[in-house]
Amino acid sequence: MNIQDLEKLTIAGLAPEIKSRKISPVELTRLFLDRIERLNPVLNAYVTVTADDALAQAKRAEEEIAQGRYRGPLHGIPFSIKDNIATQGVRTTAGSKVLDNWIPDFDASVVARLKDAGAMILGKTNLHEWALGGTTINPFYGTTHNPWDLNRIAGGSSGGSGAAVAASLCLGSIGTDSAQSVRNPASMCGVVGLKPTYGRISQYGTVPGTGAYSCNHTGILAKTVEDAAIVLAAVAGHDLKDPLSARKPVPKYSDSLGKNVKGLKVGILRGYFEEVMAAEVKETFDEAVAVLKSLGMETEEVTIPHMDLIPAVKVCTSRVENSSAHDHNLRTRARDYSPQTLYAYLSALLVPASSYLMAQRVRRIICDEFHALLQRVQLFALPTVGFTVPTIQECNEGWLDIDGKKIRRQDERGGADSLCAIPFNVTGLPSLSVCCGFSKATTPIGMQIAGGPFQEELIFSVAHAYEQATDWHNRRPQVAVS
Amino acid sequence: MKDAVQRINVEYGLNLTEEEIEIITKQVEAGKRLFQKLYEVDVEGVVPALKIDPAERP
Repeated sequence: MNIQDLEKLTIAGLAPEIKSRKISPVELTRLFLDRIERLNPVLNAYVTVTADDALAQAKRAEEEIAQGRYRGPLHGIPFSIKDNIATQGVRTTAGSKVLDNWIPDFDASVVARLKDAGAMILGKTNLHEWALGGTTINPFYGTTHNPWDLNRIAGGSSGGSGAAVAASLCLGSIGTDSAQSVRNPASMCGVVGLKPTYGRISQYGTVPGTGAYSCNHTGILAKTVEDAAIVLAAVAGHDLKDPLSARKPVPKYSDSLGKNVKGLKVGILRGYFEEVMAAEVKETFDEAVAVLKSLGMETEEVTIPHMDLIPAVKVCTSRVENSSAHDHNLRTRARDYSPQTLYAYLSALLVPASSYLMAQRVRRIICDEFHALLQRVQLFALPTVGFTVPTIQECNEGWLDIDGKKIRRQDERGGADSLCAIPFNVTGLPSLSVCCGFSKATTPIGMQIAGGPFQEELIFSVAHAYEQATDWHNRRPQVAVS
Repeated sequence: MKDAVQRINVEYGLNLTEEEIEIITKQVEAGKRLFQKLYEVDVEGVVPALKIDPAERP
């Protein structure tokens, strides 16, 4: 293994080399920090780089391993953390002006677990303001650029994490996903993005108001399915600090890789999101489904009776839950929000409580309908985003061109980019995005594979089988540095 | 609806411009239209999903 070739490194590949002391965590960290110094000015993936801390963590890792105290496959592995997740002693902005100088005196539980596993934190990644959008065009911290095409967005809201993993500025990243925010940038940057089951990873330490309480998930971005499985095993599990975290035991997820997927039934999910689906995405997704079939899986088209109401349930729930976290700041620092974000939170103050409760009742029906469907099929598949990666200019202008039709990027149902992803935020079901091809403009396209509650192992086994049957995960962007 | 936005403007001390009040009013009205569909569902006997999967909660 050539350590200089950072683009080819994966967690699974590196771990044995670090364990056997063939690779030095200190040397590895220096190489990643050099790459960040070279590429971050172009990509703006990181808003804070914690070089000194990372090197100190790397030295500690190296000493421990030398003393025979190897902690496991994340020991000595460089990570990044989305900047709405608290990091002790390191500024955590949530992509906002309100928190531009907040330095937490504690680590989020997911960060604490990564550190316990011996990982090194290289820095904090950019996001959409308050994680409320899918472009990572941030008025305060700048736009994150897509490593595959610098004129295009990296997706969002965890856009910095997606770009950082894709451009090999870290080997894994922790993000959050309240509507799409891990899977969308994973799809747009051509990496793996996992939104696990609701409660699978603790949310303690996620900045309140950067995702609705009942829809938000801590998630993982990595280069491969195997890497995502390794990270989930390290960070999942019950947390006394998060009453909504689940008590389910944490399996050794990497054991699910390589399992026979023949005979599994996959439901191809149909619904409202098809109205914003570009022909190019449909074709690429159909080819991906053909690969699943070639692996012995059976497919059938499925939907639920109340599918069309998912956007209404999601928007109502998110608006109310999010705005409640912003009430104090809206009263005291309203002009420290961008106008678009301010208007969204203020309009949410006028959603009646009866609408919120009605949304939760319909949500119950939708959850039950999905669970009924899971008696017929074991998994779901659909594109992660309905259209190819838009340009930064298109997003700034607010319009998308989908097969010659002009579509508003944002309407009352939220971002058009989130429509395929939100069924799994409303239901809390786990969903993973894996790269399934590239557009004519040479930007990645993602496929979601979703399953029943706590069925991450099944999702990993199918996504890994798909990955092994294709070559998309081996492609790397060539970032042009002028 | 514009009255409600103006009340928020005063209560929160926001000093919104007339144009901003119009934008927010339109957003509130669009949301109201979207959420109206929820009231058309038969929710007789349906408990709100305040927990997503009670069997899995602590």
